[in-house]
Formats: sequence, C-alpha cells, structure tokens
Amino acid sequence: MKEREDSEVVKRCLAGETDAFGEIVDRYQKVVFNAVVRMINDADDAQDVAQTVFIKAYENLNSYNPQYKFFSWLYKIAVNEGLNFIRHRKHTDELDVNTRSSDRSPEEAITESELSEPLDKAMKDLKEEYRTVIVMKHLLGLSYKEMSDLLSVPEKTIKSRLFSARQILKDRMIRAKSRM
Amino acid sequence: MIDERYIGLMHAKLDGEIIGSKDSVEIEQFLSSSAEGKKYFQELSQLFDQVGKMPMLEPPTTFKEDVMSSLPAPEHHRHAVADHSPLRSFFRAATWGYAVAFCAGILAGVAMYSLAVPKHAAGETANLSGTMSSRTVDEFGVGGHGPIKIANGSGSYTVRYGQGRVAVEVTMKSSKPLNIRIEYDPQSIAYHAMTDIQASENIMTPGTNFVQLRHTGEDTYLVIFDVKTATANALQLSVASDTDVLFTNTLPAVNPNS
Repeated sequence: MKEREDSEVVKRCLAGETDAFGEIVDRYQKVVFNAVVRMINDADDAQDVAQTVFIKAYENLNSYNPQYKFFSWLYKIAVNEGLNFIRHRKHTDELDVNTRSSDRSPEEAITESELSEPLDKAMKDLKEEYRTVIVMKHLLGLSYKEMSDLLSVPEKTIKSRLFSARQILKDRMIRAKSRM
Repeated sequence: MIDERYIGLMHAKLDGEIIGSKDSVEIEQFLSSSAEGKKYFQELSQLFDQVGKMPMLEPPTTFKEDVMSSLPAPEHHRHAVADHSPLRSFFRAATWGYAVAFCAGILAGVAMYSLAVPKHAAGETANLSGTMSSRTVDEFGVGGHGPIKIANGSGSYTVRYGQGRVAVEVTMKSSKPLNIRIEYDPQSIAYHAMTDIQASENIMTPGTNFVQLRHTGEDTYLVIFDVKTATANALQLSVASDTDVLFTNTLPAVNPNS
C-alpha cells in the first residue's frame, strides 16, 4: 500500500537514511512538477519551485504526522510553494512549449495536443485563483474541505471558484470546438 | 436557466462530494427530467474528461539528482524527530506519578473487561483498522447477501449483524475505476472501522455521514458501523462511475429478522 510505503520511507529518512528520500522523489516528482507548472504557467520556474517543495518536505519531515496521508501533506507544500511564487512574481512567462512531453506514443501525443491545446490556453488564461482550484481538484485530487483549509477560504468560496473556472473552460472549449 | 442548486449538485456529483442520499436522489431525478440539465451535465463531464487527459509534462531528467544533492545532511533530523504517538507523548510529558496511575487504570480496565465481556470465538482478522482488530468477524451473523451487477464489472455485498454493530462486506471486480460508497445517518449510526482485505492501493475517504473509496481491479472491503439505536435508519450502498450511479441498495442497519 502506497501510504504504508511512504510512512516507511519517512521513518528511514528520519533515521538518517537520506537516500531513501529518493523513493519519495521518484514517486511524486511528476505530479508535483505538473501541478506547479499548471499553477504558475512556467516550466523553468516550476522546476525550481518543485525542487523547493521536495527540499522543504525533507527538511520538515519531522513535522509530518503519519496519521495522515503523506501525499496530501506533500501536495499542500506544493500548493503553498506555488502560491508563494505567484505572490512574489513580478512578471508572467509563457508556458515552455519545448518541455518534453511524457511517455506517450507520437500519435497519442499529437491527438492529445490537438485536443488539449485550446484547453491549455484556456487554463493559462484563467485567473490565478481559478487555475489554482482546478489544479488542486483535478490534478491533486484534494477535497473541498482540504482546499478550503489550505487556501483559508470557506468551502462555499472554493465551490464558487471551481464552478466559475469550469464554466469559463467549458465555454471556451465549446467555442473552440465550433471553430474546428 | 438551471437552478444554481442543481448546478452545484452536478459539480459535487462529478467531484465525488455529494453528501447524503437525499441530494443523490434529487440530482438523479433532476437529470432524468431536465433536458437542459442533462446537456449541462454532459458538457461538464466532457470537461472533466478533457482536463483529466491533459498531457503530463515530464520533469527534467536531472530533477531527482538536483533535489537529492540539495538535501541537508542527515544530522538535520537527528535531534528534531517529532513523536506523534499519543502514548509516548503522554509518558514524555507526565510525571512518574501519572504513569503509575495510568498503568493502574489499564490493569483495572482489563480486569473489568474480562469479567464483563464474553470470550470471542476464533477467527481474528489480522489487518483490520481502528479498534476492530479486537473483534471477530465470526460474531457477526449473516443478515443479507446479494449480487452487484454493473456494466464492466461485477461483485456482491454481504450484510452481517453483531451486538450493536452492522458490518458490510463488498467484493468488486471491475475493469474501470469505481466509487463505492456507503451512506449512513450519523444520528443513529457511527462509522467504526474499515479494512481493505487485500491491502491494495484503494483508498477510503471517511466523511461525516459516509465512507467512500475509489476502487480499481478486484478487491474485498469490510466496513463496520456502530448502531446506536434499534430504530436506526438504513445504510445506502452505491457503486458509481465518475458520471453515473450504477448500483444502489438499501441495507437495514438493524437485523430485520431479530
């Protein structure tokens, strides 16, 4: 069970076995990296922010409570780091389209690229607060309650942001489809 | 124009955050009666699907190496390990007087328990969570059993009744991910414990009035509830895909034959 394995790795790290943390990085680097990329819209900066997420997680492993899921704890650090970056950013860079795509076949990648291009653009155009909730829900699988706790806003606000964000994405996708 | 409440329920349904069988029934009825609502729901489902299929970027190949080379030395954790064990925290904080009083309390509790509670039969279940490990499944008499027939999968459920408890065992085999959910009335029933028999990666989410898990492949789950009153409301078992409820059944919380 992944949660049990995570707890074991955490114990080994806390016992001084630093290399064990590599298992955590292997397991979560992709989702953390992608969540941060989507949040901050910049693949280069996302690399630094995602690395900071793992380093902060390691530094604070002693504050992780094993009663809770490790990945939820890690994802919360990722969201916080993403938000911190956004707050301090002076300018917005374009998403690096040259970043390598994942392990999909060329046919799949082309089809998905065609399908997701309008969605990618629509995501990038979303207000940051809308994009953040979409990432938290759809990429990280956080619940309304977890999102509310993390962003320090009522669940009602989370739902409202999610509904508005989805409405915008839905409208843009319908418009993009009608132009194809 | 769709009522905002239904829009909220449609989002909550796709988010797996519908709470309460009343909402579940209400949204199903709305979707089967409103063409506009059905269209909105289909578009929303498509959006969920598209967002879920957005290509995942691969982190740079040096990512792990960069992280590992930036970690502080192992000594960092040596003197700062937080202990979340309530027992150890208690002993660390308490004086010896408290510790002695605590041990005496434990001994008294064990003595009272052995006098008051009859011995259980064999059949301890090894990997049950919560306080369920001290119970035996054998003490629950079978109260009901039935098949779960859905497209792309099959399964069964068994309801067992014990003293002040009801246990629901669900076995599912499916080629696609499913949401298995049991709703209950928190006024008369309390969630007690759950085990994933095969200890797979399927994860349970306990809510205020439901337990739910994301099921994939083949697995058996056992959920136990404490039943507070003899007139407790029934449990609602449902199996759903991300878009549709595929199976529902009402399971009496109290043995109807007793």
